[in-house]
Amino acid sequence: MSQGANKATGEDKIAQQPLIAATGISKVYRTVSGARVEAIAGIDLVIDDGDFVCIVGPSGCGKSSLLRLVAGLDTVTSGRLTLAGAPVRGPSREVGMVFQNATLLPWMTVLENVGLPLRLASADPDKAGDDDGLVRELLGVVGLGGFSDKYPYELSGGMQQRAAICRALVRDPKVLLMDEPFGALDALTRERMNVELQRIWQASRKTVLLITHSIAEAVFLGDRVVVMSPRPGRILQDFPVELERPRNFAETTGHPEYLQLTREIRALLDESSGEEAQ
Amino acid sequence: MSAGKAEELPLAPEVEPALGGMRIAAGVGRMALTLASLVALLALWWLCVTWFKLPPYILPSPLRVANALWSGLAVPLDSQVGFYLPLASTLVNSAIGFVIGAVLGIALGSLMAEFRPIETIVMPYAFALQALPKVAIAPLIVIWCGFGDGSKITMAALLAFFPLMVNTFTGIRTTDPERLALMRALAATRLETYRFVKLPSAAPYIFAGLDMGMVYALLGTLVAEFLGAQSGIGVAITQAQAVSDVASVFAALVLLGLIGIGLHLTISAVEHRVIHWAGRHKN
Repeated sequence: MSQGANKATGEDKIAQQPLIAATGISKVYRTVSGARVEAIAGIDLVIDDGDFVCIVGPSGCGKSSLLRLVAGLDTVTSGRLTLAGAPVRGPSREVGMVFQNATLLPWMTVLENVGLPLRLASADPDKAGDDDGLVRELLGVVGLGGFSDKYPYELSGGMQQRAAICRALVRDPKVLLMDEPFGALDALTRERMNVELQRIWQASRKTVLLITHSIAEAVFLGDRVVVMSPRPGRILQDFPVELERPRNFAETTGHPEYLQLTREIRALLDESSGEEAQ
Repeated sequence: MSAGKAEELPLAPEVEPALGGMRIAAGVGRMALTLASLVALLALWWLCVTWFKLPPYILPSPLRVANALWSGLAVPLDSQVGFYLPLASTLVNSAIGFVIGAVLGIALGSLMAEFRPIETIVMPYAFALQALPKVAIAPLIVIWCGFGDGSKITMAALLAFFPLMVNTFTGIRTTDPERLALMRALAATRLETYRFVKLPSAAPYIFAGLDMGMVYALLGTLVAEFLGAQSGIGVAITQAQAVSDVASVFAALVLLGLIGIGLHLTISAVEHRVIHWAGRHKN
């Protein structure tokens, strides 16, 4: 189910570990009143280097919990979760995180915001500006070249989120984790950002794990679409997406395979949760 | 507000001059109204004094107050009789007290917000002292620090301290959790998170605290001066009161009011420069 082998190129898979490997991981939270809430239960998931994996599921199915575990912001209650072969014990340099809101710091310019991860990792965080060249280059890639000295409030929502993606990429991590990154954007901006993200991904060849509740977005972007059940979240099915890249909205969304997949995923979600699927 | 300006809204440049003009007109209108109400108030004051034939040792006319103000100001800067020397003394002591109180308030507020045990220990005392009218401590301070500048600075610092401590604490504790998650995901140290996220997040609160603390510091200095100091505008007020020179008392009050407004405007100006992003932020 979670083999993720559709991209395997046939070379020595023994030496090549999967980038992310989750084996039977569960996460139980305790609420303030002391109640146990099982967010995810027994998830097996293997993600290879360079894969673009989308996770869809109803609200509250624990997909954000799963992402927080991979990001090292939370620890698993049981099971084993490894990143590049090593157990996840906390936030790692190999992970870049994009939240639903851009979460840019309003008191910093775009340049300072995107450069912040480098500044935190450097020996002397007081000295800003060492990596301005790298940051400007990255901003150019996402089309924000002329905006490096603007403040976040001077940018539109889509531009803010592009800056946030830059910030996640600036340390050159192996994995990009995205938690409903375009959920706060309007539909048209969202479509444009999907195409944009695909372009950035093809240029950088990062591994991407993206959470969304939009089936259309998941199928459009992913090499695989992992469908999760309502809480406690389990993996219902793992769909490989063989659509040709680069994909674009005009053609891809009319493609028979695209339509077939979205229909199957919708049916699966409807079946598992009744009213939740959109 | 000015969100998508860079990307969309090509109409904006044509629309804006007209809007700007309207805004200026509205501003002028408001200013005129403020001035008119001030003139009306002075006229009312003057009418009261003449109609009810109030003696100047109860309520002097605006003209007498203006005269007293002028005679206090139309002297050399180093004159022993004018307002300048007492004013300088009061302002210097307030400023020193304000800086000490503000620094300590921001520091303790930060420590309380960062470390739960410190919060647990300090909070009850902070609330108790906050509830206490702090000018009531002034006689005690005078006993400990004497009739010199020490008492005035201590009172100013004490009064400026609380709004800054409380506001810094509140500001840091209300930091957007998503920003904190971001810093954790970036593996930032505690100090980095404080410096790059928590302190700037608290800045609007801290500025509100500075605004209050500034006035409180002036109040603290004046109270200490009332209790028997040798110099300061508070001393000038009590001396004028002793000889029933109520016009001079009013003149000193007018001066203090103007200074208060000036300080508030200064803080506002600094605030606009330093936290220009506040209130315009969207995610």
